[in-house]
Amino acid sequence: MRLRKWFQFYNEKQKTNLSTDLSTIILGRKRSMCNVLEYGEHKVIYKRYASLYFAAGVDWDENELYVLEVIHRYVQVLDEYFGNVCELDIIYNFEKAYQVLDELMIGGELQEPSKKAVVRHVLAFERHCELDAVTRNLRQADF
Amino acid sequence: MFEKTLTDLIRGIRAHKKDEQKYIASCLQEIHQEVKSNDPDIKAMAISKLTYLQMLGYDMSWVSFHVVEVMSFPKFSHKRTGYLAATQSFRQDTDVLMLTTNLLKKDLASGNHMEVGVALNGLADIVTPDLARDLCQDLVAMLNHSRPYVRKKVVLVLYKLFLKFPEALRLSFPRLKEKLDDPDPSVVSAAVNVICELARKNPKNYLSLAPQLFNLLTNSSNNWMLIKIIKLFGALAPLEPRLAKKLTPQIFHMIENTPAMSLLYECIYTAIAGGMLNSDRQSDALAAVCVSKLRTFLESADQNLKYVGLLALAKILPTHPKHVAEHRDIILKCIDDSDISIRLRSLDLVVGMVNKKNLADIVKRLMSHLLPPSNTKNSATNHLLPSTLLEPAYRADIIHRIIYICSQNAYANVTNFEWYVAVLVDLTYVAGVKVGDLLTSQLMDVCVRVKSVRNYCVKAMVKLLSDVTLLENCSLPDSNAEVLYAAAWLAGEYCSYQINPSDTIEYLLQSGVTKLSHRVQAVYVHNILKIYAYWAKSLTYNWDEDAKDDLLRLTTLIDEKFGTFCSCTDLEVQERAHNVRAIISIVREHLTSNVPAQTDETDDYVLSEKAPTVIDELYNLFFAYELNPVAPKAQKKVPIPAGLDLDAWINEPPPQSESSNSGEEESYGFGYRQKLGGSGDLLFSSGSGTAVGRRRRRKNRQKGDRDKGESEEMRVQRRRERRERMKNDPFYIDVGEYDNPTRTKPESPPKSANNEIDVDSIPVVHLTMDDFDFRQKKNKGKSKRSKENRKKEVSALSSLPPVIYTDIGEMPENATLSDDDKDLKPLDQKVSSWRNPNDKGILDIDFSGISNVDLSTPLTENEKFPQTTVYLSPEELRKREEEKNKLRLKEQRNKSIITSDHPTKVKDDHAKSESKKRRSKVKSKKPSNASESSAVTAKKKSMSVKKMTKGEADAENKAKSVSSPTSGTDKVDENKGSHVNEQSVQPVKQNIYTLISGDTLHITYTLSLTSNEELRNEPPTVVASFLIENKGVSDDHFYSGLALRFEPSSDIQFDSTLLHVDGVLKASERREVAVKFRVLGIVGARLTVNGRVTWENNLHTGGFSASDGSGAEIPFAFEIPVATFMLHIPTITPAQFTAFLYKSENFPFSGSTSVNLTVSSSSVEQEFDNAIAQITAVATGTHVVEKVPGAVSIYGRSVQGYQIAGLTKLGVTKEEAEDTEEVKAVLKIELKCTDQAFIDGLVREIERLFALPS
Repeated sequence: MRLRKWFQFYNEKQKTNLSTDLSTIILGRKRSMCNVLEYGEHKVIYKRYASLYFAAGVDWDENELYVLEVIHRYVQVLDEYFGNVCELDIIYNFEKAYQVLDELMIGGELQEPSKKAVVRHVLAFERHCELDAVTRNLRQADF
Repeated sequence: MFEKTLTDLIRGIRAHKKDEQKYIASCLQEIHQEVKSNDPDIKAMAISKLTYLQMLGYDMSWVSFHVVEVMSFPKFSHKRTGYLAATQSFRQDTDVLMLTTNLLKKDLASGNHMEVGVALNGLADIVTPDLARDLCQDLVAMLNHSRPYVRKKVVLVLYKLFLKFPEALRLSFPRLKEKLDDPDPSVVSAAVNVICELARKNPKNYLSLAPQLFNLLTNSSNNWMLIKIIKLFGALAPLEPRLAKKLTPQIFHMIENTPAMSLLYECIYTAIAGGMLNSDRQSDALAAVCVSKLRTFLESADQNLKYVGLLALAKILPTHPKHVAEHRDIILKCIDDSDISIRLRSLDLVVGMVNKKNLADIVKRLMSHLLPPSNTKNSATNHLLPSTLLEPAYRADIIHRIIYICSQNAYANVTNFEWYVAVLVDLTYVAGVKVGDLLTSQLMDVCVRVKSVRNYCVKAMVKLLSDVTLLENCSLPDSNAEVLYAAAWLAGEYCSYQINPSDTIEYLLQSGVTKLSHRVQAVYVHNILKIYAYWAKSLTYNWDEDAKDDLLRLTTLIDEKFGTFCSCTDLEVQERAHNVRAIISIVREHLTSNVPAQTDETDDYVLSEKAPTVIDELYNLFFAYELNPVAPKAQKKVPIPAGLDLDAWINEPPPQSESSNSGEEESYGFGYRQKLGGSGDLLFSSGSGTAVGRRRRRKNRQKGDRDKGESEEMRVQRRRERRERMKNDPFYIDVGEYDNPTRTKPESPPKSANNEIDVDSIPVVHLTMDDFDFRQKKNKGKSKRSKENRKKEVSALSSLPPVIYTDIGEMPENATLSDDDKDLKPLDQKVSSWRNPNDKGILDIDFSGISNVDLSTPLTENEKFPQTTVYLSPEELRKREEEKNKLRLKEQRNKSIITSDHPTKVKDDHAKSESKKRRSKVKSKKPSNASESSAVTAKKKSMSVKKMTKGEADAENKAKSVSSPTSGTDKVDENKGSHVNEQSVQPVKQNIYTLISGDTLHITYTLSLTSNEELRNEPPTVVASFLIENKGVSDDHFYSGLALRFEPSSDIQFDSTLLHVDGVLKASERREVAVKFRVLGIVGARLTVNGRVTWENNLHTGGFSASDGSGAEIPFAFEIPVATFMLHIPTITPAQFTAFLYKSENFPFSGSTSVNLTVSSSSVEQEFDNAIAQITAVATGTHVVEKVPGAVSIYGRSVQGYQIAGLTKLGVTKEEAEDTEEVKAVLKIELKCTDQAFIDGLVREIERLFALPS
């Protein structure tokens, strides 16, 4: 599990159960199978990129292809932001990966379809943080 | 500076693959230290690391308080870390969430749009109903933010808010609507998203937006948004047919032209779901296009397209079955797809596509899914079987579908019932899941309804009965041994079809039978007798020695084997077995006694003996009539007897009707239900079945037989008595003179043919209401179809043996056989009917709130955002916070140095409004007599050494007004100045209580502990110091021999019960005395000290007014407040506080209370501080740990070692009605403690502190 974000409240036990349950099912599915998994009251739409699976749970009447597009858009943005993203990028920069996700969606709804805009915003955040770091270093140098 | 960074941690975890747990445990220990650090960088880093660990499944709820701290750090990078941690770890019930309100307000008002963005992102995830209520107004105001970046986020976050606080929707909807015309496309897109989600919950509110949305639909090229708009129209279209019409060309155009599959699919899906494919020509063309596009989906190599294609086809199937049927070939291919998702969806379609021709083929395909791989060689397509196919849920699903498609529309598609019975029998063996009950009811239903299959069916059933393996495995959950219920019953009921009934009886008597469920055993027992009766009867036709021997042998066998049934633990089985045994023994007696049963001399064929007549009688007991289904409309056709008004009260309803679920059901009125319910095999449990009629009749007949002996008069007599008895029984509704004629009518059982009907056997009388309703519904519309089909079948399918159904079912006698029942509704064909209705996921959320919001009515004047005026506007707040922030951080760091801060806290609040003073006077419990109040004013003047302001003293008064019910003397202390050193060592202000307050004699007291150490094993000792003051002015006012006498109790032990004041207490003189007592009782319960003040002579005769009492003694009683037992301890730091709370087992008990304050809006925060000061210093003896705007955490420890931790939260609502500045503030206090009684006591103290005058 590299990243997970919940748009509804679950308790820890439910979260763990869902996560382990879904990862076993999804990993057990063959590549030739479709990317939709019917899971109780929800559908899980997943997609595999290299060794990473991206999965999203949605309502039954959600457009599956739309969700796949959203997943793809997230991966695209990550790719653009990290420059040919790999699993390690996400592991070591999980905060940034969340940031990207937050800029792409809010509360489970897509907020910014434009890839460039998302990357621009995230980069602006980074710059802002770096500015913080610089001032901090300066202050330390003063001592 | 040796802390691990996040990267170090992640690297470390990856490097310690083998002992990851251990490594993380050591990291967690470090983090425990780091979060307490005062360095924001270290703290933020610790939180960041925890967030990572949380993702790996480690708990971080203990650190919530620090998360809020990090969120409030001024540095953006820290803030971001804090918000991320909050979104990842906070739950709805996280305590500290209520501390975030102001923080969020501040961040939302930030001038830096990135901070706003972070706060909005965070809010979307952590929003609670409280936060939603408090923040909705700010967010709505932000809809006009200058940056589109913020606007779009606000729009989306508002949706989350609406879910938690639906009232906000009505209030903010007009503003939200404006955002559809926002100049920035991403804001528009966000607004569309939100409205789309809202419309799914309650579409009719959003119909008015249709023109605007339509405009967007035609002009936009943003596919993301188009999908949402189309989805939105899908929700709106069913409500407005004109809209559907208008949309059709647009959708048509998109379907034809768009290259984006997702948009294409959305168009098709919406066209279907939005009901745009109904009726007219244009829409039919659309349907055709949809279906042909969907075919390309199914043919595509992309499994996803295949899946969604099937999904859409399933939606289109109910309205356009013909279009779908064209693609049957490709759909059937999908049934055997290796992908379970695709397979299940194609099953949906198949279920809807079944007809007579393909039923057998489809069922065969489905059956092949159930067979283990080795047996499926014949089905070539089934080359791989994923493990999912063996899952019980999937298997059960398949079986339910098989039965559903076969039985739907009253078996309209089944042409060969022998095949169907064979399928059911096969299913019994291959099911692998528990479907026995379903199969049982199906077998019985088919066999009863379809005469022609009975022969085959009975043979199959006998085969089942003879199967030893089924019996052996019957204890396994998936053995489906319940089918034996049907097998035994059918074999018994239709035993004329059996070739060798005596063998069947032996099967039924196999030793393994006792392992079956009792329900099945009961049927076994009963049907053994039935088959026996039939077989014995058949023997009588060729009665000879052999026959007699055979019969005798079997009779003996039954008698022997029935021992096990007779000793069955189940009463039903036992009783039936005993009955059967008794009957059998009669037969045997007749057989063995050699009594020529009927020596008919005239008979010229001389038998050595004739078969005993008892055999005939036995036969007649069971097989007089054939069992037939009751027609679906039988109930309706029952003519209402003349003079029966169904709407009239049979009896005036009792004024208070109690539900009778007691044993009263045994009474006569309910007797029928009781009997039928208990008779096991007499009722069909099948959902699709028709009621069965003949048994009822037989029942009646038996009853009739039994009653035959009694004369009619006796019966009438008995009934009268019974009615008399029941008259006063509230549970019994007296049938009165309107006794149902069908019940009382003397019975005349018809002797003749099958279908003759008598009124007495009309099943309506016997059916329980719930049974009946159910069947009535199920059968609606069935018979029509089945009859039509039947006609066709016979002509078209002559190659098959003609299916003979039983007649349309039994009907009441004067019913007309017509099909003109206009009120028959078409059978509600829900494909989902085989789905388990209880299959409710854990993921259900309650959207009821948001869907109940009505946006069609305009806003009224009094509908406004909840006013939370205690909070300033975000901008103001920001300024103020910025100023305060530095100060507060500094303070926070220094806090650990300050040892005792609550007196200073109190002193912080100097200014006091006049109104507050006035009110607190009212609040303090003052006696009504005039002298008392004059005393108060007098004493006010005498206040000399005052260190506190007047207002504060007032506040203190409230706390000190300890009512004492026994003495009736209320104590109000104004005498702050008389504060003198007590025996206690602490230089801490103590609460001074008034014991007696007269014109001259005035006694106050203070309570303190003798030790400031925890005393866990001995009772706490309290010192009560009394200050006795003679307020007289003249020399005449003196007291001599003054003494305080205490009454010891089991709770309180005094070291001396008598306190003398030496000498004479002259005017204006004061003395101090002290008494020690040990508190043995439970602290927290009301501990009351009782006693009296006595003196010997009072030369001033007129010194006491009547209200002071004229005697030489005054009784008193006072309660020892719980706060007395609190230790004076150094202030703990917030970090310690969190650490205490983290170990939640420290605080197993909790209590809470809320206090209403009415204050002017300008001084809310002051009032809050004052209230906190009172709560901490006066009521609970705790101290403030940390204060954030609107909330304060407190902590304290008692002499017994109890710990008290609490959280106080302020909520303010403005009183709109008044134009004064008065606001109502609610103070919520939640306390946690290690002792229940103690906390109860504290809560009571707080409540008393703020108690309003009654």
